[in-house]
Amino acid sequence: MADNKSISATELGAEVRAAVAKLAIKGIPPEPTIIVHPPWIWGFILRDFGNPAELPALASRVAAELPSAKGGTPVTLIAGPATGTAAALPGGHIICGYIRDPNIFR
Amino acid sequence: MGQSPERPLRCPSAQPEMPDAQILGVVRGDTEERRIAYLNEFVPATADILTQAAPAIPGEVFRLAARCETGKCTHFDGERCQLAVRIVDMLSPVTEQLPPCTIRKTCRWYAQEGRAACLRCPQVVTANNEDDEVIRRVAGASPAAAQSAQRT
Repeated sequence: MADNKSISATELGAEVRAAVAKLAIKGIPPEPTIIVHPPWIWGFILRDFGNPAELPALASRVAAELPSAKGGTPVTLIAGPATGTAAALPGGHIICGYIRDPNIFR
Repeated sequence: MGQSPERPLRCPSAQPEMPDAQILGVVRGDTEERRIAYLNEFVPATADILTQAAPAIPGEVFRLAARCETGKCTHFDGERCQLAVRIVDMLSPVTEQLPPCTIRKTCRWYAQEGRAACLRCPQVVTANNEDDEVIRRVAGASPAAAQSAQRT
């Protein structure tokens, strides 16, 4: 069970050093294999899309034109049984954008 | 449940670049039992603080809170945060008392799932590299999605 003790701002630095040291002992991988919490794809949720064939081009435009994308990998993820494709997202919608570089803050 | 219309809800597992990010806590413990030590005051997630996580990424060391991005986030289905739903459905509580969290009044997970989310919250690590199938499923990363998110 968690001990439920909070820390103060003055203790923050020491806590961070301890956390980083533990990760170093464990061995920080050169690149994270997956960022599991939100939002690892940045872009638009398309709930009512027209021609799916046009989506890759739209994703490419997002990745190229959005300043924060910095040339990220264009991606579209289609979810839901209706599409018959990867059930990666809930709700049967599409996210069209780019994959955020997980090493951006390294 | 405690949702104020004047104050937007906050995501308790935010990314550093999200608006109004603050330090919610720091990851403590070993791989087998990592738990969040919650900060007892507001500390903005400044670049100076976040770089202290190097060579790890901030999400491996910190839990951050920031404004919930609703429709911009993969986990939001238009009404609810499905990440919070999965956390409550699939993870066991790790505490019997509410953690000393500073954002509860505006927390998306608490507003949506109540106390059940809080009792599971301390085990959530935002950037998780563990090869744990349950964690992947909680994160909403199916094998296909995980493959898409992997970098070559």
